[in-house]
Formats: sequence, structure tokens, C-alpha cells
Amino acid sequence: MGHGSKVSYLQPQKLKVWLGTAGELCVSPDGEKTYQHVKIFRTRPISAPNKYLSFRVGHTQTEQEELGVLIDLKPLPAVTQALIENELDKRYFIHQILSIQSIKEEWGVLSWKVNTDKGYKEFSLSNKDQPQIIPIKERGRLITDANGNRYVIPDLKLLDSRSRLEFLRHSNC
Amino acid sequence: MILRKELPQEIKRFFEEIGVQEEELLLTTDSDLDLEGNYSTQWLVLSSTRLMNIGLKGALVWIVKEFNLNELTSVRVDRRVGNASLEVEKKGQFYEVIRFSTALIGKFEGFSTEITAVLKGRDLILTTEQQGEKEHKQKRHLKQRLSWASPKSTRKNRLLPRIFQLLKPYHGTGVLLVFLLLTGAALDLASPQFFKVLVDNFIETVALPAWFLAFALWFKQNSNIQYLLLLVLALGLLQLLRKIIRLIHNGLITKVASQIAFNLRNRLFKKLQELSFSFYEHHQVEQLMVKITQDVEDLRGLMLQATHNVINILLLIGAGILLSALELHLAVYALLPALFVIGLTLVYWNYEPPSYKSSWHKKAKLNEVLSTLLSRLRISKTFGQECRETENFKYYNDHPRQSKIKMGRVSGAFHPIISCLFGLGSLIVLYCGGQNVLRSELTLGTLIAFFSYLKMFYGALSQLTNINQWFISFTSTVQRIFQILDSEPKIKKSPQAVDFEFTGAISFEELTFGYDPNFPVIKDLNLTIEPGELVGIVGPSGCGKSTMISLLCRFYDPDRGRIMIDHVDLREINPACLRQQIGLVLQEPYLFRGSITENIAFGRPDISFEEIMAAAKAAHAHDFIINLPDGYDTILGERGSGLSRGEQQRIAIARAFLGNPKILILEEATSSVDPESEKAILEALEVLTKGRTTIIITHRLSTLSHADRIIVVNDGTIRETGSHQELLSLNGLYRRLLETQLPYLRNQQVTTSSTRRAN
Repeated sequence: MGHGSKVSYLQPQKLKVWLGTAGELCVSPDGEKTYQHVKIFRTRPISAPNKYLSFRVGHTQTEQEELGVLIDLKPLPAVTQALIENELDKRYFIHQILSIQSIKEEWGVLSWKVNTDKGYKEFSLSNKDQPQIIPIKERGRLITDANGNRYVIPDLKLLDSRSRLEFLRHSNC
Repeated sequence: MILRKELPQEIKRFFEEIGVQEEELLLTTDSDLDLEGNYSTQWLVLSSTRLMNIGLKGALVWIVKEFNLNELTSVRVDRRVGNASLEVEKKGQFYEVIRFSTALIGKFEGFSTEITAVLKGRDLILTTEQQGEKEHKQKRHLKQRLSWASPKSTRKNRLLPRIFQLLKPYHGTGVLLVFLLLTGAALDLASPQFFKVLVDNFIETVALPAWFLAFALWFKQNSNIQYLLLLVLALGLLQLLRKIIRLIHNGLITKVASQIAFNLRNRLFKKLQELSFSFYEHHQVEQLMVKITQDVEDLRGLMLQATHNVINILLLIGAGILLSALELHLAVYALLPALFVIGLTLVYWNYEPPSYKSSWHKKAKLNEVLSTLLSRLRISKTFGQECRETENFKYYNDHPRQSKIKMGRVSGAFHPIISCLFGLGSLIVLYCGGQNVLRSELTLGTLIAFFSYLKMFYGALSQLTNINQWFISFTSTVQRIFQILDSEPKIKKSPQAVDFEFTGAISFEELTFGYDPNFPVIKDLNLTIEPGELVGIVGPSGCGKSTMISLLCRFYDPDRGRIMIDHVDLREINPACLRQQIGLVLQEPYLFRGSITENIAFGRPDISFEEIMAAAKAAHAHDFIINLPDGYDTILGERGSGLSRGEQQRIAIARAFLGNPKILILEEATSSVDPESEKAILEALEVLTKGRTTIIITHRLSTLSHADRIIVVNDGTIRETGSHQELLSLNGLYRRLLETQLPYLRNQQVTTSSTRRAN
């Protein structure tokens, strides 16, 4: 389907998504052919997490085949949206930072103590030169720690003032 | 007229004797060496039938070498170290005709081109006038290379109007600043007068001066206590006003200076963007960085200092006048040490300036060395050369230190000396003034006021002893900045430049070009490429392949000949239109810090994400991008770090694809990638090259399998042209190049066939 040099787009009205017997994601892009163990990738996880979703089959990158790209989740029925979002949540395990207890800097390493939607967490950012804190839209931030774990602050203004000050004191981004 | 130089009378007579008519002489020029390498004048003469080297010594004239043109097949200049020879090919053998020093290479290269034209039955390419112009240009070029400073920016008398031009947008603020400066100086000068009244009239009980009585009357004050209160209040008010004025003044001048610095940095960067590649061949990037950051910042500081100098000058004049008015006798005593100081300052100024300039250059050199050493850190570690590199750095780091010590030594000796002189002046005034007070010839208040003015006078003079250093720093900083701003881009947009959509027909017509005009890299090259044709250009390293592309992209203009796109001279095409329709994929992908989306859409902010994705898909980059945790939002490090070379290259191809160029140039696009990545890139390129005029420059002949035509270039000229099979049958340079790559090709064939079997 998606082979070749052109991107093919999935039609929301024809797209069918359901869970297989083993809990795997099954997709029929056009109501005819069916694919099992479908993976969904965000093409723009930071700038547009629910847009341009790439539906793919195959385990490794070289084996993968792109069934097509879904431009937007919104036109899909709520059940389908929930299935896709669930699959995306599995692939993109991201903590949402609710508040920042402290950030301490020592020898260029930032040690964070934060409360996230998944519980209390401590992590470190090792090298300041790496783009580890990326702006998302105007006031959001995506943080990648030394182990590659991801934390998101959807909107700095939504943090309590102490957490926000702590963040701004230690981040130039 | 260097190629048709007037022959000496002796040679003219000689020609008459041997029956050579002057009218049949096409070109005549002289060399500076004989064939044995001795300094001597020999003449190269081209007639319609013969090429001759004529020897001349005093009145003696003889033919050193002579060739019939109909026996010659080609001409070349054989370059050696410090000298060269013009050689002609006769029956497959090259013969030396004339020898000359390196300085004359350009002239004889021109001569060689002219002879070639005659041999090919064409008219002479350059007129003698043009040759004269070229010589002039070359001299100018050399001058510019040796001293790149533009004459406009080096003349100091031109600097002042240009500095005022910088200040022009702020003339309103400027007027306000001058007003504040004058008021501030006036307030400074007024204070001692009130002190004088305080001491004389309330301690010494001298009658109040008329001006103070009038002042007090104005405030309806008439008792001594009220007078005293008024005086103290007036003094307090003066101080307060002075502080407020200083506050406003500092705020304004900081704002103006910072704004000027901001504008200058923007102008400098814009200029650097406009300048041609040739500018960067003669300038070091580190020095340019220093100019944009450090110099502009220095200029900001120097502008702030300028206002202090103006205040000091005003105080010096004002205090000088008031000193003389208070007590002329004492003022003369006070002036004596000042004269010594002025004399010493003049000596100091003569000694000090070179130190400052060399200090700047040493600092710039240190930056340059640091950048070089850091950039080769990997290699120095690999070869265990850390100690040597540290020593290298120490050596250059020592230069600014020595320079600063030297400057500090001179200024360290100078300032205490002038302090002593001023101290001496104060003591003289104290002694003489004290005597006058004791003799009641002078009031104590006058003496105190005198000392206040003397302090101002000496203080201002002491500050102004540094004005020369300020002036030199200021002018040299401004000069360095203007040197860039005045640099003219060599590639200029013609006023008649046109914009049009290319079909992709390219022709190189009698093209000659050299980065140094004395050493042409491309020589009299002719090539026509049809729209949609895929042409491969191959040849050994340094043969001129990349230069052809640089010329086609108009990074440089040819010295002679022209390049046409769709029968329009490149110089007549709007550069923006040209570069928009030429897609370039280079060996180095040139990715920058930013997201993959930004890297692909570089220069096209209006492009949709669907188009970006389509370009990435066509470039076989989409799949690996999707598999990155941040997909198209992945932030790449400097030069695309974080991706493999093959991945970087595919992003560069996507970028070229997005531009939808009519002409596509691929320069060693697959040179530094592994065979697997090369395969992916070649597949991407196959899509990209469809329907476009494509030029592929490569050492890897395997990438040219689908080329319509292959051009073999060597020594700046086209040696062979044809398809792969045709070139093989020629048994020439192409075959030799191919044979050297055969073992590699065989390996690749094995890899490819085994991959196919696996599929």
C-alpha cells in the first residue's frame, strides 16, 4: 500500500480499527484488506501529536510497510479514536509533570524531583549542550532525561508558581 | 596592450631585414627570462604563419626558436616553481618556446589562449584593449589580496562623516544629549561658586556678592540665617540636578549605543550573507566572528566613553577659564605642571599606539588558533598529541599576555608620573595661594573655590591623556567594521537581471576561470547539456569538476567566456531565480541544528507538512524518520549529528526534492556512505532526477550507470565525451579511471547480486 515513493493517506470514512483476539491492533484501511499487529507512529509527536499518524506493519524498520498516513484523528468515531490513542499511549510513554519539587544543579547536571501523572519521579539531565528541553508550542516543554525517558509540561502557566519559578531558574528554554 | 606590445626598434629592423611585415604580426610580448633561466628579455611574436622567440641583447637580435603554425596542434603553459614555459605541441611532442617568471604566467596563459584560437581558425578572443584592462584588474586584484582594506574605509578623514551617518537616526536624542552635557558641565562648574560664598561670607564675613543678593531677593530672603539656608538648599539642589541629569544622560547614551551596536551587528551579518565565496577565501571566519561580536561591543563601550571625553573637554575649558578669572597669578602656577603633562602625553601617545593594534591582532590570532585546535581535537587525541597541542596553545596564549604586560608597563609608569606632577601643581598653588591668603590678598573662599576648579581641571586633563588610546581604539574598531560593510560582493545582480522558468538547457561557452586569475582551473571549456539530460562529469581530483558547478551556481563569475541557461547568460539571470531552480546535493549534507522538518523545508517556510513528507518519502527518508522517537520533530545536532551519514544525505536529497529544481546537481552525493546507504540514496536519486537536467559529479563511476552522457574532464578541459560503452572503446582516461575502480565494482556487484538472491 504505502510502498513506493509517494505517501498514501488513509480515508477516515473507510478506515476500520479493532482489537484482535490477542489484543493486537487490527486495521482495514479500505474495508477490504485486513492487517494485524498494526503499529501507529506519530510523525510529529511534539508539534502535532494527534495529526499525521503513520499506520505500519512489520517488526523492524527494514521490514516495515506503511499502510498509510491518517491526517487527523478527529473525524473518526470516538471508539476508534480511543483505540488509536490507547495504542499511541503504549508507544509513547510520556510522563506529564504536574509540579516540580526541586531542581538542583551540580557540576552541570540538573537533578529534578517532580510529581507526574504517573507518580513521584527523580531524574537527571546530563549534558546542557544537548537539546533536552524542547519547546512545544508557546508554553509547553518536552524534557528528555539522561536515560531517554520523556516528560512533558503541556503549559508552563498551568504549573503552580513555585514549580514554574524553579523551572525558569534552571532552564534557558 | 600587453599582448601587442610595441616592438623595440632593433627587432623591427631585424624583421624588415628578414622580410617579416609588421602588418602580419598578430601578437607581440616580452618575457623576463631566457631559456637557460637567466634574466634577459626575449620576445614572443605570433604572426599569421609563425610563432617565434626573438632574442635581444643590446643591438643584437636573433631567432631563438621558430615554429610554423600549420605544424602545431596545441599550446600549453608548463608551470613550475617560480617560473614557467610556453610549450607547443608538434607531431605529438612538446617543445619549449619561451620561459618566464611566475609574475608573467597570466600574460602567457592569455597568449596561449590566443594562439589556441588562431590554431583553431577562430578570431582572437580578447582585444588588446581588453588585455590591458585585464592586466589592470589583475594588479588591482593582487593589491586587494595583499591589503583587503577598502580604500574608502581606511581614510581616517572619511571616518567622521560616516560615524555621524551612524548617529543620524538618533539626531533628536543627540541634541538632547548635548544639552544635558552642557547643563551637567555648567552645574559642575557652579558648585564651587556657592562654596566660595559659604566660606567667605559666613566664616570670613566678607560682604555678600551682588549676584547672591539678587538671587536671595528673588526668594524674598533677607537674614543671614535665611541666606545660609538658601545657600545650602541651592548646593543640595545643584547636586540633585547633577545626579538627575547624569541618570538621564547615562540612560539615553546606553540606549543609543546599544541600538547602534544592534543595528551594526545586523548590518554586518547581512553584508556577510551578501558577499561572494571569494571573500571568505581571503578572510578567516574566526576574525569575522570577532568583528561581529567583540568589535561591535567594543564600539558600544567606546561610544559611551566618547561622552565622558566630551564632558572632560567641557570641564577642562570651563575650569581653565574660571581658574584664570579667580586668580590669574595662581592659574599660571597651576598650568606649569599641566604643560609637562601635555608634553609627556605626546611622548606617550607616540609610543603607545602600535601596542594597542598588535594587542588586537594577537587576541584575534588567539581566537583563530583556539578554534583550529578545538576543531582537530579528535585527531590530536587519536595521535596522542594533546601535550603538543597544549604547548601550541600556550605559545599563542602568551602573545596577548606579553602585549598586555608591555602596554601595562608603559601606562603603569605614565599615570603615576602625571599624578606626581599634578600633586606638585597643587602644592605650588597651596603654598602661593596660602601666602596670598595670609597677606589678605586672597580670600579663603576664593582659594577653596580655586582648589575645586583645579581638581576639576587636573582630573579632566588626566582623563584626557587617554583620549589618544580611545581615539585609536575607536578609529581602528570603526575601520574594521567598515572594512566589512564596504566590501563589495563580486557577484552582483545585473540591473537587467531576468526571472524566468528554466527548461534546463545549459551551455558552457569558451569558459576560462581560476580562483587566482594567473592559474586557470577551467580552460576554454565548451559543453552543451540538453533539457532533461543526465550528464555525469568524471575526472581525477583537482581537474575542475567542482569548479564547473561553482560557476554554474554562480558562486563565482568566469574570467572569460560565459555560461548560458536556456540561452540566457547566467549574469543576466536574477541570482535568487537561479538558485531557486538549481538543486544541489553535496557530499557534505549541511544539516543544521533544528528539527528534521525545518531541515527539509529550509528556505521554504510556506511549505505544507504533506509536501515535506512527500519529499522525504521520495528521498527514502520517511521510514527512518518515522522510527525516530520524535519523528519529524527530532532536533538534529550541529551538522546533523544524531543521524548516520546516509540518513543525513537522504534528508539533504529530500530538501533538494522539495525545491522542485529544474537543474539538479549531485556532487559526490554517495561518496562517504556505506554500500547499503548508497543503494538507498541511488534509489532516491532515480526518482529525483526524473524530468530534470541532472549533472552528477562523482569519483564512483558505478553511480553513472543510468547517465545519458559522461564527460571526462582533466586539467580544466574536456578530454572525452560519450556513453559508458563509447568511452570504454576509446581506451582513454575514462577506461583508466574505471580500471582503478574495478576491484571495488566487482565487490559491489557481488553485494548487489547476493542481495537480489536474498530477496
